[in-house]
Amino acid sequence: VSTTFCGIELEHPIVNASGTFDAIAAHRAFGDALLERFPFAAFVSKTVTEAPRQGNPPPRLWEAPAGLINSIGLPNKGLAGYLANDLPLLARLPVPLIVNVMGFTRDQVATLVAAFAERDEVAALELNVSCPNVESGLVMGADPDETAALVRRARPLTTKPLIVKLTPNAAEPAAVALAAQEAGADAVSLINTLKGMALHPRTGEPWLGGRTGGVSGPAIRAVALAQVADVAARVEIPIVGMGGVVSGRDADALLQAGATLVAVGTESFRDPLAGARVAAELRKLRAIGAADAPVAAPAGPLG
Amino acid sequence: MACGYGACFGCVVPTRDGYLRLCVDGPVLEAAMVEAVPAA
Repeated sequence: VSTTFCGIELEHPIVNASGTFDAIAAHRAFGDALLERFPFAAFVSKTVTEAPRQGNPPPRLWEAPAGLINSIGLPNKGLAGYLANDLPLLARLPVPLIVNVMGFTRDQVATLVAAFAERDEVAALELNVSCPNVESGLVMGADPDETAALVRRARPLTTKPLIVKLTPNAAEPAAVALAAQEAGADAVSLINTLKGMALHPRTGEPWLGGRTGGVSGPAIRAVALAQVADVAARVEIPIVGMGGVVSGRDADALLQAGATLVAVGTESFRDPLAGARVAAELRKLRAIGAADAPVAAPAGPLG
Repeated sequence: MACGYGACFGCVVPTRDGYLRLCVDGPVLEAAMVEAVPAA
């Protein structure tokens, strides 16, 4: 099940969703065994912004039925901190590194893309467009024209593959995907989290410090499948499909819907080796043929 | 708590030194450095 994605050779089609697996923290917790048997075919790092961010006030998490609502708020060390502290460690991973970046203006995104363009440790860049453009007030990835303008700005700054991480909180994600492709994106990834909310059981006030958050996990798997199929029908560039994947069969479904790679996200919080398990299950499924495989997906507590 | 090993940043508490992850920077913190305890 080896795969080529935007010219990058990968051992299998399973990667992590940005922000759901921390290779540095995992190495610290699990030791060198993690590097010897790294669970993903490529590592997608947590979103990097130009300036450091503390993230949103707690509480940051709420367990939803078959999923999770998070309002983490993209805490990170900023571009300089990432280059100085994280990149040297991530360069030692046994798999290609994809860096996820986000800006609140096109200039910020351009700065990030240009900085990573000249780093050989970086195999590809993923643009997180699920944030408002502070100049226009529009969520960049919710609007095809905003997305196209952003990609047109970033495209000439690097020869590395540019992946646009689409938001499902758009009127028509497939139209945004098409706009990204026409503006020069090499791939799209979807879905990001769906906007959601939980109330404090006693006060009735929003539970999350950020008021609303992003819903992930098996609860959104059917939405992911539909959106990946819609996008695959509209674009020719490769797709990284994700949303609620906990098993090889879930990954296989997204591949059949048109994805080239599949990302495991929330499931890695429950089981840091979930990526390796999903890849192994997919390998087995492909070997015996999906038609002959047992119908019931192996279900975890969230499954 | 989602991950339990420092990856998700879901368990942070506000302290004099900024947000600390209770799972890896704690679980015990010096009381004087904790700025506020979120209401249960």
